Parts: sequence; C-alpha cells; structure tokens
Amino acid sequence: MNDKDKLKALRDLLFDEERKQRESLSEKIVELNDEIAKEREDLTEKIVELDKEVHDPNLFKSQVEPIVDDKINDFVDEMPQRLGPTITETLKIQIQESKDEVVEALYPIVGRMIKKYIQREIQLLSERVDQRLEKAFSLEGWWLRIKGWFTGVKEKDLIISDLAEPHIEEIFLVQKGSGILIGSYSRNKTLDLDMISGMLTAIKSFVEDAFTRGEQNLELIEYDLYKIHIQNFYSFYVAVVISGVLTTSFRSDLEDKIMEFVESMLPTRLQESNEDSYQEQQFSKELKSYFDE
Amino acid sequence: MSEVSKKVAILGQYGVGKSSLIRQFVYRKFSEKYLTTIGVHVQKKVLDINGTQLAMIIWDLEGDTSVGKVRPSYLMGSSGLIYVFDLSRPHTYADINQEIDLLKSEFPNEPLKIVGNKKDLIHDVDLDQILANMTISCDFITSAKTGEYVDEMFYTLGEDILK
Repeated sequence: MNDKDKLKALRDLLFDEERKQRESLSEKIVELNDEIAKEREDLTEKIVELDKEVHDPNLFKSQVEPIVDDKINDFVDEMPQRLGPTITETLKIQIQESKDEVVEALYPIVGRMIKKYIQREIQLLSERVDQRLEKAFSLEGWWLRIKGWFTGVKEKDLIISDLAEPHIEEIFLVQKGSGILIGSYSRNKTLDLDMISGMLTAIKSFVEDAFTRGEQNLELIEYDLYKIHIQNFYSFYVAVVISGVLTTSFRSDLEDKIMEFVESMLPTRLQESNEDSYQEQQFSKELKSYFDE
Repeated sequence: MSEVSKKVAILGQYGVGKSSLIRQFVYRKFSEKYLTTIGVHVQKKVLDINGTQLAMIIWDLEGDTSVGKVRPSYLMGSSGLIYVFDLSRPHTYADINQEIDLLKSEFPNEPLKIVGNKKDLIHDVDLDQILANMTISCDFITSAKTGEYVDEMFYTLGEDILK
C-alpha cells in the first residue's frame, strides 16, 4: 500500500459520515429539482388556462359579473350611510355659497304657488259674495242693510265679516311688568305659553317705551292672519289672539266680555296672585268656561 | 308639589356672555359665535328647589354701557337680578360699584348675583389679581364655555328668590 492508498484509507475512515451526508443531499437536490420542474409545468398550465379565461370575454364576464353585482348592491345599500352626510354637507355649502341663485331659482316657483292659492281663495270669496248679493232683496239682504245703517259698518264689510268670522284662538292673562302668565286658554296647544306671555310683555313694554308719550298702552298687534287684541288693567293685561276678520263690533263685544269676566270672576284675586301654578290653573279653567265658543 | 313662576333679569355690558350663560344653563350648549341680543329674549327653565318647582322666566336683556340706560319696563316685576361682567375685559367692570349701587337702589329687596364670566380666558394668578383689585365682592366666577358654576349661580339665585 503506497502513501496515496494510505491517505485514501485514512480519508475514508475520517470523512465517511460527511460523504454519506453529501450523497444524501445530492439525492434531495435532485428530488427538489424534479418537484420544481413539475410545479413549473403545473403553473404554466394554469397560466395558459387563466390566459384563455381572460381573453375569452364570455368566460371572463360570467366569472366577474356576480362579484361586480354584489359590490354594486353593497354600495347601493351602504350609500345613504356612507355618502348621505357628505352629500348633505356639500349641498349645504353649495346653497350657502349661492344663496342668491337658489332664491332666484325658487322665487318664480314659490311666487306661482302663492299666486295660484290667492287666485283660488279670491275666486271662492267672490263666489260667496255673489251668492249673498243675489239675495240682496231677500229678507237677509234687508237685515244686513238695516244692520249696516245702525252700526255704521258698510254692507260689504258685514258680508265679508260674515264669511270670515272672527274666532278666539288663545287668551293670555298676564301680570304687567313681570310678564308672568296668570292664566290662559288655548284652542290649539302651541308653544310654551310662559315664554309667549314673556315675549308679548317685552314687545308691549318696548312699544310703549319707544313710541308713545305719557301713559299709553299697546292695544293691537297684527301678524299675518291673526290679530292680538290687548286690554289693559291696572296690574295685569288680557291678550286675545283672534283669527278671521276682526270687526269693530266683534272687538267691542269682546271688550265688554273681558270687562265682565274681570269684574265678575276675579274681584281681588288677580291683585293677590302670587305666581302660583294652582292659581294659574284655576284662572285658566275660568277663562275656558267663559270664552270657549 | 307646589309650582311658582318668577321673572329673573340678566344684565350687563355688551358681549359679557349673558346670552351664553342662559344658553349653557337652559340648553347645555355653547357657541363661540357672537350674536348680539336686540331688545330682549325670554327663556324659561323649571328648577326643583327643595321640592318647589320654580319656573324661572329669564329675561335676557340687550347689553348696555350702563344700568341706567336699560328700559325700566324690562326690569319691572323682576324677582331676581343677575349682573354679569367679563373678567377678560376690564372696562366691563370699571364702574361696577356705581352700577350695583344703582341696581340696589331700584331693587332693594330683590336678590342680586354679581357674576364674573369668561373664567376660561383668565389664568388663576390673573384672576386673583382682578378679584383683589375689586372693591365689591363677586358672587360667582363662571365660564359659560365650560359650564363652570353656571348651574350653581342660577340655583342659588332661585333659592334666594324663594326664601
């Protein structure tokens, strides 16, 4: 055995384990290469299939369409929640930034509506007046004429007042100065009555301070279709909200009725009123029983 | 449970926060936007004071440079008064002594609360300095913005009115 053989024998002895590992690794690498080659083939096949699907419109459509439909349906369902606030905010800003344009656009529409309404109401009124005038020589007609002569109210005013009879809508019994509500009667429950009586007193105080000289009182407020008749007493006042046409005779009768109410129902109690809610309820009951039509 | 209604007038110079105090007290709201009160604005809040329901009808009067210039009819029939000044603007309390004297001479028997508002705009050190320089005692230091001592001020006035 020469040196070369000895060296080989020694090397086999020392590196036998490493040799076995190397051989095993080589085998594994070969296996992996085979697997990669197989995977590559599979992938190539799949890419070819996908390529076919993508380039075949019918196939692509049939697969994508349901997904897109679902997304669109979801979007439509969620749109009010997701986009609602943004759209509202954008519209608000748009309207605020172009108020004049909005008014310009709405003006003719609103104008036409109002015009149409007024025309219809006038037509109705005209028809009713015609009906009355047709009865001019009837007993009713003569009665109106005689009533007109005695009361000094024109016949046409009497006819119109008959057609739009005044009605008491609300009555406020209010302490002067403080504006505290002592009692009230309302056909339709509206806003907070305490606040109305407070603001009414504030308006009354302002007008009386600003526009009158000496001891004068505000007696009538007009707004739209309503009139507020105000009757003043020493420590309180009565405000009556009236709808319809307020005629002199109705106002005169109302004044008498309020005077009667104050004289007969509230001799000294109003002066003694200590802003107590029990008293307010009592006064309100009495107002209702006296003025309810 | 008994219920009573009482008028309370709140007055002071322009922009001291009278309307903001009422807004905070009645609606629990505050806005930085300044809207001046024209004439008077009436608000209402019902308080439960030791079992009595007190409907406080609050008259928010427009700001004026002096109490003497306020329309007397706006103050008539008030059961309680609140005088507000702005801690951050010295000219709103420069003549406070004369203003309070005038109010007390007109309404000797009605409870009055002197209120320094806008505490949120003032540092504590500055606040001590302001109060030390005043010769009149301030009943409440409030902030309409944070709501600090706003309820307490109105409730205390309510208690005094019912006494």
